[in-house]
Amino acid sequence: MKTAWLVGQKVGHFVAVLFLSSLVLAGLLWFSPGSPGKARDPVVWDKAAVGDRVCVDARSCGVLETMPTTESGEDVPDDGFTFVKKYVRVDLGDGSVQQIESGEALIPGPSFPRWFLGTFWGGVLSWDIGPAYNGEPVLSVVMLGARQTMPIVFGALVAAVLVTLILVSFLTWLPFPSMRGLLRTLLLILSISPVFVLGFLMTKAGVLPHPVNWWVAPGACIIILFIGDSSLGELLLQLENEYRHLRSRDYIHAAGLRGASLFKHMLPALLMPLGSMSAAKVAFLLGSVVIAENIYAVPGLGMLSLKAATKPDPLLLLTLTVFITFVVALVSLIRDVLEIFIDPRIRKTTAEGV
Amino acid sequence: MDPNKLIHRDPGEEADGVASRLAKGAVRDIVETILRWRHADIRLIFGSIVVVLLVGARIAAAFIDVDQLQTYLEVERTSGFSVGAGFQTTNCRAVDGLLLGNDRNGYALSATLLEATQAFFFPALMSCAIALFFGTLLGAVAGYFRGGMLESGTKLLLTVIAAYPRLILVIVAVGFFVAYLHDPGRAVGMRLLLMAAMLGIAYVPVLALAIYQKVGAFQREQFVEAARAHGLSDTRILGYHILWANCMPVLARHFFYLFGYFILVETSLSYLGPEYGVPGSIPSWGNLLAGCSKGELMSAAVIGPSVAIVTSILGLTFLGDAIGERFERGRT
Amino acid sequence: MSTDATPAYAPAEGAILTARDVWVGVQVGKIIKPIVQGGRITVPRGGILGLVGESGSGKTQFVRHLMGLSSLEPGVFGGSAIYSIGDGPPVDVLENVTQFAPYRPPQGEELFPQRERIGWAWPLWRRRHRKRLALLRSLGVGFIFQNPVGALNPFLRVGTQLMEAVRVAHPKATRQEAEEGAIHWLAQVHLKPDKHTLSLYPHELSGGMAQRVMIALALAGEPKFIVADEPTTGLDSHIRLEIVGLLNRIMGQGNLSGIVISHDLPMVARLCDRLTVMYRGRVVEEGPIAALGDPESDSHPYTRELKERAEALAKGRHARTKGGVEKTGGTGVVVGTGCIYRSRCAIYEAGLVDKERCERDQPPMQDIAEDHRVACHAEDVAGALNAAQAGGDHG
Repeated sequence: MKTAWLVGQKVGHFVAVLFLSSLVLAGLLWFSPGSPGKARDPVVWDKAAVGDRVCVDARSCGVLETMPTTESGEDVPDDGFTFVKKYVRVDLGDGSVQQIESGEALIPGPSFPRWFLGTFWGGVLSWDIGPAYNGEPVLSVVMLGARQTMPIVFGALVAAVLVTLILVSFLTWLPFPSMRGLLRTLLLILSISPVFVLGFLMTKAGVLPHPVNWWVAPGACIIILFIGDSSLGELLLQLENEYRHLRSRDYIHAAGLRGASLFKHMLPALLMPLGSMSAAKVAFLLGSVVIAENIYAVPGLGMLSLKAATKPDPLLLLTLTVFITFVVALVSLIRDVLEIFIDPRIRKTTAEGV
Repeated sequence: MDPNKLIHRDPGEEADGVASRLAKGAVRDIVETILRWRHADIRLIFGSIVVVLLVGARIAAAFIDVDQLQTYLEVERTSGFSVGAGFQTTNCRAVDGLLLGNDRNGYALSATLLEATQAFFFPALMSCAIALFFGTLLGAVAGYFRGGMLESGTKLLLTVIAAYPRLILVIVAVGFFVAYLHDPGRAVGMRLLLMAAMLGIAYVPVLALAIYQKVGAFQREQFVEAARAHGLSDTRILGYHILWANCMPVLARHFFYLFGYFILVETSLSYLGPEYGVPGSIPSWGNLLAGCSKGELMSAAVIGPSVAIVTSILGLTFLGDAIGERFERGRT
Repeated sequence: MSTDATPAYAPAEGAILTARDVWVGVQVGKIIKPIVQGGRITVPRGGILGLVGESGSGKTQFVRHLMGLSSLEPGVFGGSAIYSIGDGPPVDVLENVTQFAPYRPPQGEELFPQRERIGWAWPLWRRRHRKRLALLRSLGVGFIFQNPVGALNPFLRVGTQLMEAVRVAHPKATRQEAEEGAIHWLAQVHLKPDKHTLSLYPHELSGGMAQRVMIALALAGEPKFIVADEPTTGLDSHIRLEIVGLLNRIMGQGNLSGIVISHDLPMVARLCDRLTVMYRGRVVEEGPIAALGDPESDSHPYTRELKERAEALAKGRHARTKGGVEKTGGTGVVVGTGCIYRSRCAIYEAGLVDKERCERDQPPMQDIAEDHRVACHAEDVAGALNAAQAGGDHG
């Protein structure tokens, strides 16, 4: 069936983009100063043996030649009271052998494939990635954050679409073009303010109700998100444009001539651009939500990614970003699949003669 | 682009360097641009004024040495009005003797507003340069050499870059890379550089898509076939005839959009705090706003940075829109 | 309402649509480019009017604006269009337009329509205008568009759209009845009258099929007034013959009035009773269809030029005008004082008319026969034309 093949194509594309984007980001994190590949943890000498791989600093690693001994070569047992400096020798493999204090020897960090495919993707598939910076499992931290953020983002999306539809209908109904232009410009100016400016001014002006209920902070986030950062303005302009092009199409004229419901005729044609705009908007909102959450102290994905970026916690950051990318790509996928079902031209491309 | 100009060209003329050709074309374009300003619409005027003000502010900022300007301590001395103890204050009251009052650090707000343009001006230019370069390269290559690995590969790369929300990428880079640097002075420079680079890269898919569509449309035109038949190399056709002559309005439009977007990102991150954007000791509009969290709504300290931010972004966006509409319509 | 119509505009006798002095323009930059200048048509009740002219003469825009099917700015800004459909009083859809329109037609030495007022109330007039048109449509008006695929909603099946049209005539029809009606109309246009055809999407139809579906859509509302806009342009020649035959059969049925817009003269000659010729936005001839038949008969120089060309094409010879000025003028509207046709007019070239008048004044519509008018300054149009062509004939 052609539909199944088309849908399968889109799903495959989705998986590929998700994997590749996680790969790129993981690579970016790997080569940053806070790389998870660096050696960090000190060697536990109880479990070590000659021949193990140890690291002398964050990047250089080699093979352990000797167990910890004093400088003179004695193996003095640790009695728990006196501190004796012990040394080990490590063969770095390039011909040099380095002698370092035993306390400075580090366990080598994971290799990139092990970290990326094993820890991360293996963790995703088995639903246990590992601990975050605060000790809790990464996945539960991310899910908790998502519980806060997803309603805000999708609430803002729904608000944006609804408000835009209402505004477009109102603007179309308005008989005077100059008034229309003025209103449009005012909305644009309001919308172009960055999210934080809107939030700041709103807080200052005392718009938020007191006492603070459970919905106040997310609600405020939704309001500044769907308006600010040109979110509303762009959607308005694009939708008005689409509507105007559609209105001048012959088949809409023909439908009007038949007295048919224009709504029924324009809806499928408008759904597709609206879907594309929504998909793009979700990506945009997930970016802006970082700032909005920070203003109203909502413990969602935004705050979490800020913490993960500065702690730093590469695994958490990777998980967060992949999760966000997943949501964005999923929305795009849904939109593509819906388009397959709404637009008959995609499904049936063979013309049949009489 | 008049195909006749291609057909009548002398083979000897090809010896002219690309640079001189580009220069001549550029002069013609600039003259035409100036001539078209007679019919400017208000967005163009407003945007141009904003750009002039921004450039002027940046130039002025280079000459301002804040230490030499009146601080509130001096005002206290001259006017006898006491603004309270502590060098840092969050209520940012208007003080006699200063044009717009003082900011959190006690400096004259008017001076800090100007100086704040330093935080974003050159990083924004750098960000635009990166985005324009890579975006044009990828978009032109994908649009010109259609069908085949080059186009699909480029499109996949662009899709992957576009998969992340832009702000997330910027935060990831800025936060993560700078976390390990302990020198705050060095950190600011590095941070802004990274912000600019990441935003530029994050914007590449948008620009590449626009260029891809435009190049694709032109590639189908017959003058490309005619040019090829006359022995012009693909580089020349693509570089001069398609990109320079026809895609400049697209590039100009996105340049201004990205500049405005960078201002937005930089001020937002500075507002979030010293770990993400510019730290408090260096002025930025976002910083100024964050610093006056206890001030009144109608004070200059709140209105000043807000108006500055909104006007800059608005003006740049309008200018981008106006340039796009005017020149794209005139050319096609 | 007819009582409010200015005395100058009254519906013609026995005409279903009387349009006079219609001005249609589009705003290009700072000027108004006039598409139709002083257009006039009279569609007889029960008869078909053929509207001919080159592409760019404004004929399509003219009729579309009379029916409210266009979205140009400012659109129609002058004249009157009185419909006398049904038993009610005649309705002037362009009532009071000159009092509200921001532009007025040029007068005297002016070339372009001039701005007359700010036009705050113009959008309100537009709204009222559209309401009047909506009333008319409920009485039965059908339109066959030029581009069949563009006029069918690509997201809805053919059946859905046909059933919609059937419900125009029978609003209370059930789904079953609507479907049967749709199948009936499919049969009328010689398409396969079964459910499979109803389930097709527009992009699955060939050009000819799509055109037939559009005709069926126009007819399914059982209109009393039908307009066919270039119904055969863009179709293959053998399909063209079939469509013309179909239209002939449909329009030949007694009570249907309509307009056929085309630059295909033989088709117009076959389908229509009356003729209106447009050139560059102006109407140059109104008369019976016989005026198209004989090249030597009385008609406007332009009409004769068209006839000769059509004949030469039919006979396979390279078209040459006998003694006329071989100028393929551009498409589109021309503004200017005086007669716009003079650059191509054989009479003007031969000097058989007062050249100054041709350059200065708009030619009036003068009667050359019963119910047959041409726009020309020459006293005896036919005679002058024959003389001019005889004199300049290059054999």
